[in-house]
Amino acid sequence: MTDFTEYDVVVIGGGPAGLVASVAASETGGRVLLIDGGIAGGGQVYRNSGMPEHSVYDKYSSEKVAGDALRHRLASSNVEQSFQSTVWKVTRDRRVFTIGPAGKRNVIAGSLIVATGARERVIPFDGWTLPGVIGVGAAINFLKADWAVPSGRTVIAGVGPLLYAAATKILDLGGKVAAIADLSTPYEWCRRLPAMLNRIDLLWQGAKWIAAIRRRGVPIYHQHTVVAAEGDDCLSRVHLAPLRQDRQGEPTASISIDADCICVGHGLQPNTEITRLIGARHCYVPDQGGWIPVRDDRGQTTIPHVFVAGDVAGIRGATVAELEGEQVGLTAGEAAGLEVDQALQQKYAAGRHALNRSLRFGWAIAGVMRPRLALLDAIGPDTLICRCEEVTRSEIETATREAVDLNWVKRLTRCGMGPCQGRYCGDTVGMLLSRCSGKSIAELGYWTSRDPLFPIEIGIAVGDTGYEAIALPTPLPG
Amino acid sequence: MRILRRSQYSAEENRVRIFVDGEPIRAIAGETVATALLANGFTVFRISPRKQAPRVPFCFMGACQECVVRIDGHLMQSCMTPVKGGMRIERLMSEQSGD
Repeated sequence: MTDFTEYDVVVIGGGPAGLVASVAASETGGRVLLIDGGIAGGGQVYRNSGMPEHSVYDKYSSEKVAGDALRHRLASSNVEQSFQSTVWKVTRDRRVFTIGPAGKRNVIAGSLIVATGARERVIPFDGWTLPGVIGVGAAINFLKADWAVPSGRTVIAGVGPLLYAAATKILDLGGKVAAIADLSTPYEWCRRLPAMLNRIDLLWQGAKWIAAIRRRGVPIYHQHTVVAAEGDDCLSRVHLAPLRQDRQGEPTASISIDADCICVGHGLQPNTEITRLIGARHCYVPDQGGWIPVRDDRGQTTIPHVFVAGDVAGIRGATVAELEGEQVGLTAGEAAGLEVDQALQQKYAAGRHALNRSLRFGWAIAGVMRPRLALLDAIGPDTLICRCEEVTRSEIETATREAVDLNWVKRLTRCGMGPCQGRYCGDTVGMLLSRCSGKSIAELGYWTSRDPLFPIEIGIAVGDTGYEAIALPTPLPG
Repeated sequence: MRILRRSQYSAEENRVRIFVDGEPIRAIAGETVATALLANGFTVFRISPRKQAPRVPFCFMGACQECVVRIDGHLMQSCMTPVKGGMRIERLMSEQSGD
């Protein structure tokens, strides 16, 4: 029998939302635990390096300043912290099973806050599993963690502001950006300009990124996508083609570029593995990243005392995550029976106004990063959809003749059964099944989430259970 | 793919020795194991089970599992694990090595 340590509030995910939620909850005087897989708070957007601070690049980074401020808030708080820890199982009654450097740590929460953020969405193209093809977020992550850039000529492709952030950061650190291929159109951005004016500071930052990129002579191809990555054992050439939203049929490559690295990203999608595992209701909102947990205005999901904050509840960016984290930390604390006094309410009241302003900006950006069905046209029949189990588009389309939902496709093809547990192929399979069946993605649903949430050593799940613990039935007489 | 380190911290005195498939390499204490491998010219992290294709880290945030290697006997995500001197790392280069 495993022991569960009791906490008033447990927060899963130490990015801006989770970190701030844990600090706010702890200010009520309750016992709060923050669990995260990284080495320090900040998540991916404010990811800290494991190396001491010596880099010149460091000083100029506004993200480093913001991240350090958050980490300082955490250090000054009474929050108990469990870093480099993996949450592998969560139950409806708020038991959380984790494994970390100090071994197993299982806890039970009065209130649980899931702040697991988002991951990149990458819709496949021929050759996308070649060494040299990485996510846009990936390039930004190893830049932040290790102050490193891809070696050689880099093409950045996909959609969203991260393309320009990545290009700027890579150029700043002496990398070579050969081209940017942006799926979006200037019209899409203009339409969202009124909403984006709520955050003039971020709009200005984006404009500076683009100006810096143009000054360096980096070509930007609008409404273009990668249709093929070519190479023997690693990438050597990239083929781009125009992709109109309304076009049917395969786009023909019009631009070919010698490249050593492609950074590709087609938006962000919430990490809802935990909320789906415990049976919370979800809805499909493409403009907020896809499947998101249904929640009330206090951030509570349809499972009592389970709350969500930050990008996991819909892609809205780091500022919204931080401000929402404050509010959800307090409401989750209250739900766990902790007292949120006048002073504490006052302290976080200003945050509510700032939250509404930042929300409009966040929604606008997330809309540009929505999944784009037209990208399916660039996927050939032999292109891998499932990276882990190496299942091709044609194998999946054969399965769709029989399959009524994604889980059926999984059973027929093994797609989604590999180590990433469907995180990277899920959206694409949904889009393919929708196109083949004529049903909407919302109707078709998503993978059934199962524990372990990440691959773990089997001894952790089995524990001390031995054969003697298995109750053998008595044999029938005769 | 290859990676270039740009930190001023990568000077000689901040290096530690780790072992990759038995081979000693110089890494920087605190950088991710994934970067240590990529920066030292290890252009393959694993061989895919079905098509025997070379793979390297893809997401660099602990989601895709492409970067998994054995670190001091345990399978771990190299993109989320900081380097410590003396670490012994083994890549999953054959179909059997995932056991």
